[in-house]
Amino acid sequence: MEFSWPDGIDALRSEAAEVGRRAASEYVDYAGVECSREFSLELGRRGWLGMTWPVEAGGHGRSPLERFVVAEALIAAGAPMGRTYISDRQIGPALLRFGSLEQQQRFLPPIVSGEACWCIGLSESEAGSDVSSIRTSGRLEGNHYVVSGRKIWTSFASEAEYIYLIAKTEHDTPAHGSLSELIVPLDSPGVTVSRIRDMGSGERFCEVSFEEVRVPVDAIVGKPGGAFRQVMRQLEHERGSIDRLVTNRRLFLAACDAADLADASVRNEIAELEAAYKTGRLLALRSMLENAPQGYSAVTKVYCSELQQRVADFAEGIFGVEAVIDGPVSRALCVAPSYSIQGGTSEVLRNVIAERMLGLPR
Amino acid sequence: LFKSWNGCADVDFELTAEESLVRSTARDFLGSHADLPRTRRIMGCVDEPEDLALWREMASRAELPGIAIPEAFGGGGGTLVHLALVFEEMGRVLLRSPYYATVGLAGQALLAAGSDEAQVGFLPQVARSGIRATVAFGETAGGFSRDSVPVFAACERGSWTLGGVCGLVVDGNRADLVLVVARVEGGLGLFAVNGAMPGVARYPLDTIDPARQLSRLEFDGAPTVMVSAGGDATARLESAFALAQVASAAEQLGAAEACLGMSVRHAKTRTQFGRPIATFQAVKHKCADMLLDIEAARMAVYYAAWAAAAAPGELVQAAREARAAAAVALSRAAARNIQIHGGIGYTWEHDAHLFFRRSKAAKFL
Repeated sequence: MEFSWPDGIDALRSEAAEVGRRAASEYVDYAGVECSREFSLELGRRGWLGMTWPVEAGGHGRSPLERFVVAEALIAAGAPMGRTYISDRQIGPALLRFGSLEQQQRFLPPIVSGEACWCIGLSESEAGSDVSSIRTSGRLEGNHYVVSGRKIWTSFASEAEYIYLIAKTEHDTPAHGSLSELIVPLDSPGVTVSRIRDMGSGERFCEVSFEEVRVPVDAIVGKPGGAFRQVMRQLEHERGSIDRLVTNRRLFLAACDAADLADASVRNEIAELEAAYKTGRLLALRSMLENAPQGYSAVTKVYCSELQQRVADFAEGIFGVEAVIDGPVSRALCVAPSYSIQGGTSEVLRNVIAERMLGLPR
Repeated sequence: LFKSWNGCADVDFELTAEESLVRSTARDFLGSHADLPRTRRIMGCVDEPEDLALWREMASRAELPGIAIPEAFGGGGGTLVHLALVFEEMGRVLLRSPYYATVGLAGQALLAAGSDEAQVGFLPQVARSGIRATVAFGETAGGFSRDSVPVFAACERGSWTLGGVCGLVVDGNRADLVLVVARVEGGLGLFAVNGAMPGVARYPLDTIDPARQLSRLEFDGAPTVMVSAGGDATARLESAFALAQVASAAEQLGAAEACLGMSVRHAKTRTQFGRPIATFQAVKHKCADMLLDIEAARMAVYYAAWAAAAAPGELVQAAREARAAAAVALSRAAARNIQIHGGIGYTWEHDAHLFFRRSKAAKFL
């Protein structure tokens, strides 16, 4: 067991915090929902995208710990990360693990430079937690798949150039073996993106429909029919990520600034939340290093997202009336319910913990 | 994926080979010598000769008492991480033994705050089970601050005496050596008292936790010697208290794991409505919640144990966090475990209540 950080990590953390603070100085965002193309390009210029990916693949070959502190500091500062975070967190790693060399050469460099924005087409109206009920299909015709169907809750589809799509391509295979992953350019004929306003007043949430959209067969990532296993892998990255812990860090710090520290119960609450934050950080670190038992990212996700909801409750109590006037606090409160839904609901993840980690029967 | 990064990993959550060995040594020893049924059999007894025999055997067979004592004092030279892993295993069986107070409290206090002479004099005895010792931190050991220490030390013509009362002292009734934190002019000191000497009154207590012996100790002019180094030992005693907190936290972590293990075994085998109750999500989610608390506590406990040697500046804070997290994990696991067991879990005969009881008492230790 070892918890020491590499030399120079504090300087990197301060640098990232400073960059984040500067980027976030134009607005007050307590819920970590802002995004900016310009800032994405800055991240690319600084070498903070694809940090851990191999140099031969266009990445920077740096330590996962360095990526961890950069991501934590930037998100905690409220920097507008949204545009690149999905591709940095999971699209790149998925392509590195399962993609062809051509796909890696074509798609990774624009992610690393901060130009590309990706979204993930997973959920459907009848396939939320139950991925095996996906109906969007890709029909093989010659050397093309013809894609039809509808994806929902697709964050950033209105900004993205590509959707990483989970669709049914192996029609003769039952449930899990029938799904494949396809890269579909969102400007393909037949693709329609419509925004859905979310309860946090954001508009990055989208519905994406596909009507007879033709994509070449080499758009498939990994094995045809291999999506289930590959997606589970990707979800591990998504669930165990540090952003689950820090997106409303600013809300917490703002609430601490506004809190009456003479009140012992307030001090207690702050101490509990801060101690839990430090623990959540270790859980996220452990998930990221994949230095943990199978299913561990579910532990990280539930712990961190529910902690963020406790932070929102705490802030609500501290800000009182101010929290009901439209503003960054009220907005952050309205974003909080999403934490235990996106990336796997707390209920499904508790099933994952019980079944995969504790071996309880289905 | 990260294997592509060519550098050595700094943060590593895996146990080293040595740490795994320590864990399995403790687990094997306890499995064959001191399981939960043994704890049950001897619990509630004020003084159990079997405890002493087991305590001796721990040194002769498994070298457990000296595990985190430097080699110079006859120990194994291990770290607090090693010791925490041992306490985690002991917590699983609610081990009744002088080990906790002697090694976790007294041994660590001597290492943190003892003078060279005291370390040379006592640590080799701790390492080979030659002595039973404990520490009286204060009214309750649950909190530690300079102003709350209830014992005063006075010095007349070069001889020290102690006066005051300590409400809860682990194994206080039978320890040969009682280390007492006491107020002196200008701060705090650590004092050694022979538990059998006049001026020390020891009252064994019946408490909510029969698996641990607690006593009230009253000092009235008890002759003593100062064993802390230098002048005001407050800072070093804070470290000593932090080390005791890590021991307690590790033990509670293990106890919580035992509760989860019992729940999982029961849920898989208990059948109602024609199927194992483990198939019900209400039961699954209770088990998942126990695991969430436990994994969070594990991080806090291991981090604090690691910090003792590697980041001593963080020890006091990390130890508090660890103990708080472990207390949450155990108190919730113990209560959920009873609930999952239903009626049988509420019986005296079942072990579930022993962990529930420990969770209550451990908040003060």
